[in-house]
Amino acid sequence: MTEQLTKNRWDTVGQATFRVIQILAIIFCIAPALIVLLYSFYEDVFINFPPVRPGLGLYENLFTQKRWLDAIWVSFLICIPAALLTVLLVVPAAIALERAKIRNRDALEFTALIPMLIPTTAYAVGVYIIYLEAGLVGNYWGIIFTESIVAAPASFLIVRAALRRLPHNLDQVAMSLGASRLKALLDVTVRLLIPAMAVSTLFAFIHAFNDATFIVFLAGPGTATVAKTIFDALAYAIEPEVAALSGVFMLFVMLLVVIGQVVRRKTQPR
Amino acid sequence: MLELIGVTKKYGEVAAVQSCTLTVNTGEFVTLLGPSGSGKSTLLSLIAGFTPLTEGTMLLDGRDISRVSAAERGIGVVFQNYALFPHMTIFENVAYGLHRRRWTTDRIRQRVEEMLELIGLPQIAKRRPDQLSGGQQQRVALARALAFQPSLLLMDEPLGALDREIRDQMQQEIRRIHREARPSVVYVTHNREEAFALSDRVAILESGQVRAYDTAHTLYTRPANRFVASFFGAHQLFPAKAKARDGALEVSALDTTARMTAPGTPDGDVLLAIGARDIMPANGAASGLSVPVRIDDVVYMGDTTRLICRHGPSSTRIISEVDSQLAQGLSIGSDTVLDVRLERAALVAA
Repeated sequence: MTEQLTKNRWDTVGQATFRVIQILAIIFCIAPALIVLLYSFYEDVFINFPPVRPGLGLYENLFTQKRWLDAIWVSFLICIPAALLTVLLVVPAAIALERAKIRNRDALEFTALIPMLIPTTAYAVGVYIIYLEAGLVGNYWGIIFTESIVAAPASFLIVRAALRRLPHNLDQVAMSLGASRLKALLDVTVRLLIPAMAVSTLFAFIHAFNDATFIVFLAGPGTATVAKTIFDALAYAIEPEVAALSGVFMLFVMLLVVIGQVVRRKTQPR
Repeated sequence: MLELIGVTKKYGEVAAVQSCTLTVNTGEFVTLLGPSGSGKSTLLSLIAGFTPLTEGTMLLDGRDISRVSAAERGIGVVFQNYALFPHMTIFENVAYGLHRRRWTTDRIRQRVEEMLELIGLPQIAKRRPDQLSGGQQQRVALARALAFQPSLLLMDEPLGALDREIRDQMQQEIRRIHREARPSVVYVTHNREEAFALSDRVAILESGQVRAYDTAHTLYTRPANRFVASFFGAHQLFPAKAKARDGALEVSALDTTARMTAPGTPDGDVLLAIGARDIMPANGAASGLSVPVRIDDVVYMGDTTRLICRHGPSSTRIISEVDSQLAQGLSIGSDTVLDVRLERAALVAA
């Protein structure tokens, strides 16, 4: 009986400790986001703590000054085509790697994941050197191409996971019923991959939208995205609008993530 | 009619199917039976055209289909996992093959209704596959495969994913549908009972080769070789010597000798193959080999009781399965004499 009680007491202490760590972890994860949001609703010129002049002035500036609006516009101009390009690359790659009899399948699959695995900065330096030689630094299409490669691993994994849930004899049945190989692929596999492709596009977009590393190396005039603009705004001077821009940026991406999760949950087989 | 002539499939140096030759007559129900890895599913996939074959020829109703695409073979296929298209209704699933054949809308509607009638599920046309039970899905898969009236239907372990009770029901369904639609059927399974219940003929496969091809009855009572006797007949095998004498065979096994009539069986060193139901405690005069044994275990199985026995200095294991009434009074550790009924036994090459 006593032993039981002692054990229970230790359990309680353990649980409490765990709870505290949990709460700290959550605070640590979301605090920076909350602070940026908090600052965006003040009009302090310098970063004071705590901020003193509440107001929506930063947002007013953000949505009236051309520089900030341009950054948002450029982000969309780069990230939407990049996301579409990513999915165009990733879907055939995933189908080929999953379905075809390919030698060195593992090696190829690993290649598809490289942009995710090696240190981003080092990879970006490599791209920068190549682009410098090719005269592509600051080039719109060059940047789109890089962003789509950078977004590829995450998109690839999403499509592959969906593909693995599909029984691969669905296509065979379609063929036995008289469909050509291509017709079977389109009618069945590709058709059933549509939700995954939508989620995959969304995540590719988020990836490209979030990227600061590659864009810092590669962007030139006219290709400064939101991330690049935030970076520049802090590198040379502290411009308070950055807080508002970051706030909008963050909420937008969170919204996309939520949409992605909802689509995923709705379309996954029970 | 399907004719396979020397059909071979190699992956590198390994032959998954090795010079397989067999004929399936029009309307015949043939089962490919074998342990896992025996090549039965590969053979089915070769016939369906999902896998290109390495060597050999396949004729379907006289037409060489060896190099024809799966789509143009016109063979119905049913898989273990049903493989219904999850994004289509039951109607669309069954109609898929008819659309590919450019049937008119009216004809398609009529045919789909007919097929759903045939499988006994006329009211489910508008439902989706995930709203049906496993047994229902498999019946729809069958309707889809038969809708375009193929002369050949392939089934790859179609009952493997179903519960026992539903499996028995589905066996009856398959028999009925086969009787009504009359396609030739090649049916893959590793389940002996299914092979017994469904087939006109059974092909026994082992390591990519056809070891025997005959009616289930012949394979069971007159197994062609040791593998067929043990895998298909589930017979026990005992080393024996056979000698022809006075128009009969003198068989010595388990340290005794008796005479049996077994036409065309091998001479010399052979194996005596016999089922557990054909070995029983001798009541007075034995009709075959009289084998003294000690009973190691008595296992009650309901209608029957299984006696696990041991014979002689080398402790040869003999299993006898008898009606439970006859087993009363037999206890573990006691001695008895078993009658090995030679008239029910078969001899196969050692």
